[in-house]
Amino acid sequence: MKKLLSLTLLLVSVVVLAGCATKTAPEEEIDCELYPNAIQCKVADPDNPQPGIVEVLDTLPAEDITIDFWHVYGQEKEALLLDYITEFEALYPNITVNATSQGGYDDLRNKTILAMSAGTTPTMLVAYPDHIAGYLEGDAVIPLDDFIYDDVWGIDITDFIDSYIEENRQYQGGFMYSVPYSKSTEMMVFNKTIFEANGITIPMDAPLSFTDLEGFMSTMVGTGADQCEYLINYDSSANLFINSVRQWDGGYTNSAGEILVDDENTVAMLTYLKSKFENKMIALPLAWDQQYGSTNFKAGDSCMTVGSTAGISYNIPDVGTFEIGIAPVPQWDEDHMSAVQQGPNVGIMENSTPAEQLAAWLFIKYITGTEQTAKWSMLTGYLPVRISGYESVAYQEFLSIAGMDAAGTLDDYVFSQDLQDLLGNPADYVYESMTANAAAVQVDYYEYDFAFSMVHASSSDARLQAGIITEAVYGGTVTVQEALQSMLDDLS
Amino acid sequence: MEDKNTFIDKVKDSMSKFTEKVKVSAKEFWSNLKSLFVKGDGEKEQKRLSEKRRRVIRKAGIYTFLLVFAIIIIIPFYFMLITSLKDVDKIYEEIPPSLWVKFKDMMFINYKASLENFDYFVYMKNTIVVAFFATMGVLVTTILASFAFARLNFKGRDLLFLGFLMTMMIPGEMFVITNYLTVSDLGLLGKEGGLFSGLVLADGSQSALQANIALITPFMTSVFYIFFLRQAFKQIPDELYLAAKVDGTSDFKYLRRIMVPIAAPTIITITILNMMGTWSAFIWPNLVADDEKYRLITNGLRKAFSVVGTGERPAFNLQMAAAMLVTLPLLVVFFLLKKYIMRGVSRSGIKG
Repeated sequence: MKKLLSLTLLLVSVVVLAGCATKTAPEEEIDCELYPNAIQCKVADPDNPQPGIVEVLDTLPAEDITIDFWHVYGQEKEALLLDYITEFEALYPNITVNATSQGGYDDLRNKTILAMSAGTTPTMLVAYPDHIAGYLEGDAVIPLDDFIYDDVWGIDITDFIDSYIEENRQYQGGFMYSVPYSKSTEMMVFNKTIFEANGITIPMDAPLSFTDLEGFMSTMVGTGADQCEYLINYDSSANLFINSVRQWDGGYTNSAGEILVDDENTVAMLTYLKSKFENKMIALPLAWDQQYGSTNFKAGDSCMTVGSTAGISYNIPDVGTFEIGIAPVPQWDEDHMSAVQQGPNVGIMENSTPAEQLAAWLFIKYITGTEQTAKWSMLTGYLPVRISGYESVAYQEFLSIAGMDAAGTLDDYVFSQDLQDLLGNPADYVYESMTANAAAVQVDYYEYDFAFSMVHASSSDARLQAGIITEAVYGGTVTVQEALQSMLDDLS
Repeated sequence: MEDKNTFIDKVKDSMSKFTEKVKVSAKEFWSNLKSLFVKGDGEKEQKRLSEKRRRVIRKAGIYTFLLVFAIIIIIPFYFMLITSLKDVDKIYEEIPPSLWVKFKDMMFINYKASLENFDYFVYMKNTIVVAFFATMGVLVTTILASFAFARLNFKGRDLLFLGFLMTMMIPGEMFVITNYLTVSDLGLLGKEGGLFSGLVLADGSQSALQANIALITPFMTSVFYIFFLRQAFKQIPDELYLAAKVDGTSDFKYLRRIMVPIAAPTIITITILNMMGTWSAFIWPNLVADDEKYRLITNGLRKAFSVVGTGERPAFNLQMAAAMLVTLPLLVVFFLLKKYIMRGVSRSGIKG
């Protein structure tokens, strides 16, 4: 009898637990004729930019307001953020910003998703587009258009870099669910000394083409004294794939989460890359069993290397070995120029009062302000999110450091007091300035990944797969067709 | 001065005695070894020799086996130690990484640098507080529950125990969600509503007490430990209980005076395992402690080398230095309580 009872209990629990594993039914489509005011039914309208979804207070309430801000920064970046908070709280004495680091980006996202179910989300947070797409599934973030276009609290959105705006508007209804915050891109660092020894000058104010690269092959690649084993290294195989797809006008993903790599141009692109892997024009850090190519670039194994602008310090060789230059990343042709833009944005969560949302908005407005974005960029290696940030006096002076170094006038120049206060000795920032110049060239053709968060795959899964198959092709273990097919199989 | 000289003489004296001893024992060793391969006289002598030979070979086999496994276990730890003393550029440039760092190249400054990166002592204090209370809680609930399951007779006891065991089949990650919701509904996360929401700070954020309650309570009980201790209790013969009963002892007194002392090794093991669990807890404190200053050591460790933003690379040397600092207290505890841990674990044949 007892055994029977135990067995029944076991069976029941197995059935109950198995129930946990079954997927929940997809959310029903909302009938927009019946509920025209449902958020899913609203679409951004250029003539009437304020959709009226979020309640924007006319005045900031006088009572104390505390906002929680979840971020991922540690050490120097956190210290700088705390400086901004102190300045902001001095401007609005009744607002307290509670900024806490939640570990890495994945920790932050996982915690937020849990907090969504418990209703304990922060007022605002740092988020990648695919995070926002995920939060939107639970309607946990609010569109910011009502704030952006508000007469009292609004900002001039046209001052932001276009592609950043597009990236933040890619969600349902075309509303802006987040504001660009910490942005970076890729750059190409090259061994100036070795190119000059071969009589080649690489321009730093315009990208090279792949035809140029092919032209360098016979002179630059080989075992001679002024030659390298490989011409160019790409630190991120995922970025190489995704950015090349765009330059070849091929298919990768779309905003609906479809995987479009079964595409003529994508096949042609990957076939081209394969041939260039084989003739040692392009290397991946895999060539040296490394995660990044910087060590081998510094050792002279590759003449050029493409990596994140945030990683410039790793590519600076020891004094006296060779000189470097920094240029925009190479392009396939002028019609489809593309450079990756990456880095998180900031958004406001739905589970907060209008007063808190307004306070959070004011804080976002503050940290993305002209002066603040310029300062954040100069000190952290990120890039300004506003055009006025680029054009600000301090940032222009920062950009001019590279030019003065090239012209040999850096030692005689007296920097403004503001820049000295900010950077200490601005003359130490030659490479950072070069990087910023190269990045500034690319601003016009930044492209972003479509963010999606589906049951079968997310945009970050797609990116991961893109990197994996590129490395597999590099390793020569698969054919181009097999690689693309495996990506399709894994993501559907 | 004189004292010093006599001291040095003493040291020298004992050193020479020691070397003499070593020499003698080395000599003995070699002569023994030699004797193994020298043919002895007579059958008896032969037999004695071959037995000795077999014994030596067996011992050598056992020790080689143990040595190989010891090396496998020690290498990651050793690697952590030397990485923590390397220069960060070296780490990235060396392929394959060297397994030795010269003393003059050792960068002890890494430890200073990683201590500056995070509030080691704050996190350590939090961890010790949480570990202490969580372990106390676990001991009370485990001992009482195990006693009930092992000794007391009540209706549905085995069924209830079976139900408890079944919860062990649910992966721990699943509990994170329900625990989080519970803690949140209890008002421990600094939001309005719930039993403990009165404890919030003036600005509405989570107080230290709330954070600690949220950190400790979910770890104050464990089905696995109950199962573990129940088995230990079950081995204590019934006669002891019955005899105690005849003498008019209460259940609680019997538990306190007889069962707990007999099962002490198991209880010590539970204490140690639970402490180690708190030490390595990462997800839970990150989730429920809103302010960084309430979090535990592993969260701090993450922050000590947390590299965010694309393109930046971890400073592995600082990472490992921080890991060493975090592991050190645990290592000291392990060596101090080694005897009990080994006894407890080998007794049950189960590792936590």
